[in-house]
Order: sequence, then structure tokens, then C-alpha cells
Amino acid sequence: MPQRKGEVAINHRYCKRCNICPQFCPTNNLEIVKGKLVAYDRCIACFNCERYCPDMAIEVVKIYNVETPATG
Amino acid sequence: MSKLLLQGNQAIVYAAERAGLGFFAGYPITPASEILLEFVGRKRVKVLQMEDEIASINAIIGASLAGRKTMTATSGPGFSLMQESIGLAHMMEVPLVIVNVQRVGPSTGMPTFPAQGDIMQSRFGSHGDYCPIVFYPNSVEELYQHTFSAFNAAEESLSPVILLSDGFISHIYETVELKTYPTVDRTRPPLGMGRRHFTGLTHKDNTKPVTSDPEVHRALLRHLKKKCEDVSEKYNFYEYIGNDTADTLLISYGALSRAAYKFRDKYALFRPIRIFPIIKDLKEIAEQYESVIIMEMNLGQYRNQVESVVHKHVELVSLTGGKIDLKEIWDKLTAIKGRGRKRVSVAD
Amino acid sequence: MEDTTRFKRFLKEKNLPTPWCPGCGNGIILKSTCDAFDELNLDTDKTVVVSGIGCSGRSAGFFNLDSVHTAHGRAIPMAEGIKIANENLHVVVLSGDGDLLGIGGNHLLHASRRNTPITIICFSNEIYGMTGGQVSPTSKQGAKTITTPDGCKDTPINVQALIKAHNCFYARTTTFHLKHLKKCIVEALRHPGLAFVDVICQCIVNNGRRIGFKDGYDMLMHYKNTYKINENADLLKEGEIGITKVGVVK
Ligand SMILES: Cc1ncc(C[n+]2csc(CCOP(=O)(O)OP(=O)(O)O)c2C)c(N)n1
Ligand code: SF4
Ligand code: SF4
Ligand code: SF4
Ligand SMILES: [Mg+2]
Repeated sequence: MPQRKGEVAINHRYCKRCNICPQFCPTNNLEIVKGKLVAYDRCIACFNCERYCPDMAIEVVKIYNVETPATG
Repeated sequence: MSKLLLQGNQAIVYAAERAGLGFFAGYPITPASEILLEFVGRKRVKVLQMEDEIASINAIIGASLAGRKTMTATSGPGFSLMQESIGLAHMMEVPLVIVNVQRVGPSTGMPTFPAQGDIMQSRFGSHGDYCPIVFYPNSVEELYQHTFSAFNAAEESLSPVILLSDGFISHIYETVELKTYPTVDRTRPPLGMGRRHFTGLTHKDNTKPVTSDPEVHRALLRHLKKKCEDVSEKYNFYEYIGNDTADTLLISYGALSRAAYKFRDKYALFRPIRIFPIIKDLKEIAEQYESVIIMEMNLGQYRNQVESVVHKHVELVSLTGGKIDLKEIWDKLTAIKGRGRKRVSVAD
Repeated sequence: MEDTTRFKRFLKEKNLPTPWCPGCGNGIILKSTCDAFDELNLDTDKTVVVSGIGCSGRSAGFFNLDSVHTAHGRAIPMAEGIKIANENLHVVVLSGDGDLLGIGGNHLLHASRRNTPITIICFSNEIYGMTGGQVSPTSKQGAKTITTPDGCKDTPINVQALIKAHNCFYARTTTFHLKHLKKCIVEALRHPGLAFVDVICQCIVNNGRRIGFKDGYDMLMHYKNTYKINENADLLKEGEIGITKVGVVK
């Protein structure tokens, strides 16, 4: 089964750390750590963060598929 | 060239159309209503009757930015409502012409009687510092001529120019030769052609607001002031009737200056047509006379301004309540003489 | 990969970031407006945006178009002057509820009566945000603000009734319902007369936080749970958003 993966880019100059995107992210891929927004590697390119960011500070920059080993 | 018998307010409309007016917005008010009325049906001008004077001035600011030459006309109460946006137009550097046909105030006062109570309002009515160009003719012919001056000065200075009139000269009928004076075209591209940001906030080069740098604000103020002063120099309109036998200079303007001609044997006469910025020559002229008197249909609004330029005491003859009576004027003038050179005001 | 950032061509990116508080909804409306411009492929040389004064009033300055930032309450007559002077321009007003419905309310009343073809996008955050959180014409009855500590006693302005009474276009949406928000703006821009889009949006700092919301997300979730889309309404009821049918209310 191919699984959709993504990657986001954060523009720290625009990001106001409002904590909207981390709460919209379905995979908990985003978090504000010590006053800075960080992204992990769990992005599935759902675009929620990009759409709801009021400050145009986060964008999905890559979408790709990974093959997951068949189970069962 | 045709000659027409026109009312003062009509003359403004005839001239405005010939000066290139493309858009007029206004709200009815005595004694300026004939201006709005006269525009109805004129094909070359878009005419809007707005819901109030605030809407009127903002509509003409917008239309001016969109590339048209624009004008509004009102009287004191409406002029007061426009003040905030007059400041905005200075800040955004928008050319427009605002006609104020003065009537007796404050408030609703005596709506059908002439007055000169908006002199300070013309100069200082909006908040903050600015340096408006203000014309105040004294005949129908001159209203016609200086409507052109107002439009041209507005274009050259990219600022709102005030054309003052009063319930007297706007309502009399006189013959006017419909001359075409040279006109100044718009140079700034209309809205829709750029990436500019016009704002009332302190700004630099119409790009974005800069609201916390005093130096940017000071530079902007210097620019706005210098620009209007420089342009005003091209419109040094005044009338001076010297008198070798007189020791006193009598200053007057607008409706009341027509009465002053009666006293030309006894006084030298000075009549500014561009009342702001104050004509610089006035200082030198005033120096040639022992004393200076000003006549105004208010409690001395222009006197204070004139004193700050001529640097000497100016006696005041004040006529309020919309009445111009030669005997009353003469009595007040002679009362000043009688009391010598003490600082007195002869008000009613 | 589909380019989801094409809307940026309508923005002056070098003027970013906006001056708005973290989590403020204004940025979402700014973005959605650009997105709608992009969908209609508006000509940047034929589009002008006009704002009044308020937090929302700062939006005009971020468009990569000619823009005008007027005095408080005066965006509508300014926009009408622009539109009537040059009918080829798309003229779009973006401003606050206090600006458009309070100090400028009389202009809206008459512009809608005249049906001047302009698009008005109202940032309805139910508060005077910029001045610190005073009650606004759209504040609901009972709303606690710094000037109504015991709850607002007045009825909020029924802007829908006002606009519809003059047979103009009226849509209501929120900053949570992004697709709907964009659609409302697109349809408003397509409408040949005056169009009004009422966007319920979050002022977190001077409103939301004081009435118990944690952050901008919390307010967005509140919109999600409160407002249901009704796409076929003559008149929207409380709790409904949608594009109302034009010309059915007499
Ligand atoms: C004539 C005038 N009165 C008052 C103000 C102060 N003022 C600035 S913004 C504002 C309220 C703005 O509220 P709203 O339009 O709802 O915008 P928001 O900040 O909520 O986006 C006020 C009262 C002003 N700038 N001008
Ligand atoms: S695109 Fe979706 S999954 Fe990826 S970071 Fe943004 S919200 Fe999370
Ligand atoms: S929504 Fe935008 S501004 Fe807020 S934390 Fe995420 S990236 Fe930063
Ligand atoms: S005060 Fe409110 S409306 Fe203004 S920027 Fe902050 S959150 Fe937004
Ligand atoms: Mg508001």
C-alpha cells in the first residue's frame, strides 16, 4: 500500500506561534517548542496547517508516496 | 467670446466644467445648493447627490484618485463635517476643490445671510498640521476666474484647495465673460495602474505606512508644507489700491471688500484673493502706513493671522449677523480713529 | 503538486508579516480574498481595494494592487467615488464591523440603496478590536466587553435585513469555513450590483480571550460547531451561514 507523505516549510519570520496549525494537524506533526514552531516527519500533506495559518507562515512543499510493507 | 448674466454659484459651475471637472458630489445646503442644481443634466460631469457631506468629500477623493478632476460645494455646517477628510486628502496628496459658500454661524445660525466665519476653519479646520491654499474672490467674474485657479492649484500641489464664497457674492447676478483660462492636466496615473498604497497614516512614497519613525513624519510634513507654499506663489492674487494721502491701510476680502471701495479716498485698500497662505507682499505694503485696519464679517479671524505676518497691531472692524451697512462701517472706522492707537476692537 | 500559493501574486509579500495579533482571523480573510481574486483571475491593473480604520482596516496595504486606506467609516463612499469615476475597475472594500456598520453605517444604508457595484467584505469580529475591545454594532445581546461589563443590552445590527431590503447580495460565512468563505467572495465579486460578505472572524486578544476562549483555534472550533451552511435560504437564521438568494425579499 503506498502511503502519502508530505513535508512542510515554516517561515519563521512570518510565524506568530499562534498555535492554530498544531491543533489542526491530524498527525501531531507540529509543535511549539521553546517559543518556536517545529515540524516532525509525520506529515501526510493534508494542507490543514497551510490553509488555516492566518499568517502565510507554513506551506506544504513536498508530497510523495512511500510503500509500506504489506501486512497480513 | 460670450458674455452671460450669471449668479455667483452658477459662475463656479461654468468655470469648473471648463477647467476639466469630471466628477461632482454634494449635499444640498443654503446658500450653496444652486451649485449642485446647476450640475444636474450636464453631460460631461458625473454628478452624485450623497447622503451627507462626509460621503461627498470621500466620494470626490476616491474619484480624484481614480483620475478625474473633482469638486464638492457646501456651507459652514457641511464644511465642518468634511474637516477630517480634508486632512486625509492632504495626507494622501489628492487634488480636489472644495467650495464653501459661507453663511452666518455657529450652528444653523442665519442660513440665508452671508458671513465670513469660516476663515479659521479653512486654514486650521482639520487636525494636525497642513498648509492649505485658499481663494476668496469678491465678484461673480472673479468666482469664475478663480475656480480655474483653484483647480489648477489643486493639480499642481496635489492637495485639496478651498474656494471660499459667501451668501452675498454667490447669490448676486453679474455679467461674466466666459474666458477659457489655461488648465493644468493630471500627471499622476489613476488608480488601477500601480501598486501604490494611499493612506492617511504617516507613510513614505505611497508604499506602506510608517507609524513609529518621527523623522519620516517630519519629512512628510516638510514636504506637504513646502509643496503648497511653492505652488501658492504662482497664485499671488490680490488687489492693492495705494493712497498717498492716507495714513491707514484698510484690509478686507470677499463680500465686505466691495463696501471698502467706498472709502478709497480716505484709506489705502488691500484685498487678498488668495487668503492662505497669506500674501507675502502684505508686510511691505503695511509698512508704508501708520496704521492698519481690517474689516471682517466675523470676530477677527483673519486679523490674528494678518498680525502674525505684518508684525504690527491691526485694528478690527467686525460686522456680524450678515449685515453690510455703509453707515455702520463708517461709524466704526471713525470710532477707531477717534480712540487713537490703543488696541481696541469695535465689534457689535 | 498543485500550486496552492498562487493567491500570493495579489499580496505585497515584502510588507508581511501583518501587524495582527497571533491567531487573529483577519489574515485568513486577507488570504481568502486573494484566493478568490485568483480564482476569477482578476486583472491586477483593474482591481482596487479600499479599507477603513481598525485592525481590519490595515488589510488594504497588503494587496499588490493600488489600494486606499481611508478615514474611519469612509471606505464605502470612497469606493463609490472610485467605481463611478471609472466603471472598469473592480472595487473591493475590506473593513471592520465597527467601521462599516457603526461610524460608517449611514454610508452602507445609502450605498445599498443606490446599489453601487462594489464588493464589501466585512470583518465581523463583534468588537472594536483596534481600540481595545469596546462593544460594537454586531456584538450579541449579553456580550461582555470592556464597555459592557454586565453584558450588552442592545440588539446587534441586522445587516442582512438592511442589505436584503435593498435587493443587494448578502452572504454570511466564517473564518473556519474556508471553502465557503472563498465561494462567498467569488460570488460577491461576480454579482453585478452591491455585494456584502459578512465574515464572522476571531479577535482573540481583545474579545475571545476575555469571554473564555483559549486561542484562535478554540474560536474557529466554536464557529465550526455553531454555524451550519444553508445554501438555499432567502434569509439566514441565527447559526446559519450561506449565500442568500438575491431579489426575493420585498
Ligand atoms: C473618527 C475616528 N473615531 C475614532 C477612531 C478610533 N478608532 C480606530 S479603529 C476603531 C474601531 C475599529 O473597529 P472595527 O471597525 O470593528 O475594526 P477592528 O479593529 O475590530 O478590525 C476606532 C473607534 C478613529 N480612528 N477615527
Ligand atoms: S500538512 Fe497536514 S499533516 Fe502536514 S503538517 Fe500540515 S497539518 Fe500536519
Ligand atoms: S498557524 Fe501559522 S502563525 Fe500560527 S503557529 Fe502555525 S505557522 Fe505559526
Ligand atoms: S486586537 Fe483583535 S482584531 Fe485586532 S489584531 Fe488583535 S486579535 Fe485581531
Ligand atoms: Mg471589529
